[in-house]
Amino acid sequence: MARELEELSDVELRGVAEDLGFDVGRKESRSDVISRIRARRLAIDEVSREEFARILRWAGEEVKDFHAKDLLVRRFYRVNFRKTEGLSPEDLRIVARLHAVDFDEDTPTEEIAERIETSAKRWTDVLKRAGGRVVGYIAKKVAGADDDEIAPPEEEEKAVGASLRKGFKAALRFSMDDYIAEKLDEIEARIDRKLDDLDRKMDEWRTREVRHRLRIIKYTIIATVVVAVISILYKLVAR
Amino acid sequence: MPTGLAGRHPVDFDLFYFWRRLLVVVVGIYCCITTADRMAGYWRLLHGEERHWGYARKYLVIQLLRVGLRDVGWELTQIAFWLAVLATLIWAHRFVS
Repeated sequence: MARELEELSDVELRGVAEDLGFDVGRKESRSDVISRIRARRLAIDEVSREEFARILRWAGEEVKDFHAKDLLVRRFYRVNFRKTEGLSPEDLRIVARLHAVDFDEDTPTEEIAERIETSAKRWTDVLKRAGGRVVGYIAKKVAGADDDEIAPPEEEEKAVGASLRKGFKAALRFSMDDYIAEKLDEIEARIDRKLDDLDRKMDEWRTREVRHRLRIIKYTIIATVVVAVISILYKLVAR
Repeated sequence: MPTGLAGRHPVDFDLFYFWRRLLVVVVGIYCCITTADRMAGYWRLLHGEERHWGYARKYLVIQLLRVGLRDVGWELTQIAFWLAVLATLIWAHRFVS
């Protein structure tokens, strides 16, 4: 797994990090990102598919039996945890662990919930700021106001453009990932069904074949018995 | 006193005994050759070193282990019954000799 990560390009590494719910800072080195991804994957490995499914169902998302754990993980990191009402203490601890929220075994559940919600607000604030800039930019274009009066500085316009591009790119990538993952899961489920069907047919064929062989043995023994009976009768007659 | 092919004195040559002995020899050889040929066929089919042949061998073993007694119980019971009858008949031969 580590070798695979090291072979990835910067863009791919950033994509993996985004899938695992954290943004990569501009000044962050590759090795730091890789170690963060590894740590996050270790935390994910400790959580079962059923636990992810349970949390996603709590968030009101539909989870089907054929959805793979990878897909559930990606969807989990897109869930907003600003409100955690209804989550069981066990699930709260899982969410905290998976978002690297600091807590220990003695931390009360309420405290953990508060920390998760605070962290979630911090993540969404970043998005809000980016979204605010986007909305401002669009409002300006729609209102057709004088560019000289309210035009943002050039740098800010660039940042807004970059945010838009990044947002669209991320949205597109997420939907494509979801679509492909769902299709792959469907194909996998279909292959599994086919394999089960083949296995069942093999079972039937094997039982039929064994029964056929045993029947041949039985007829051979019956023929031998017939010969033995003839032999006895012959001996009686010949005596 | 020398004995013949049918296990009897040449003077008392008995066609039935000869036929019975011949049947045992011919059918025995036929069974051995058929079984060996079938085993060699399976060996040729499954002896490959590649991974998929390994999977095929394991799958075959699992298939054989999964044969349930319930599926072939009736046939086995009949075979046991006919074997018992055969053993009794062979044992009964000594009383009519």
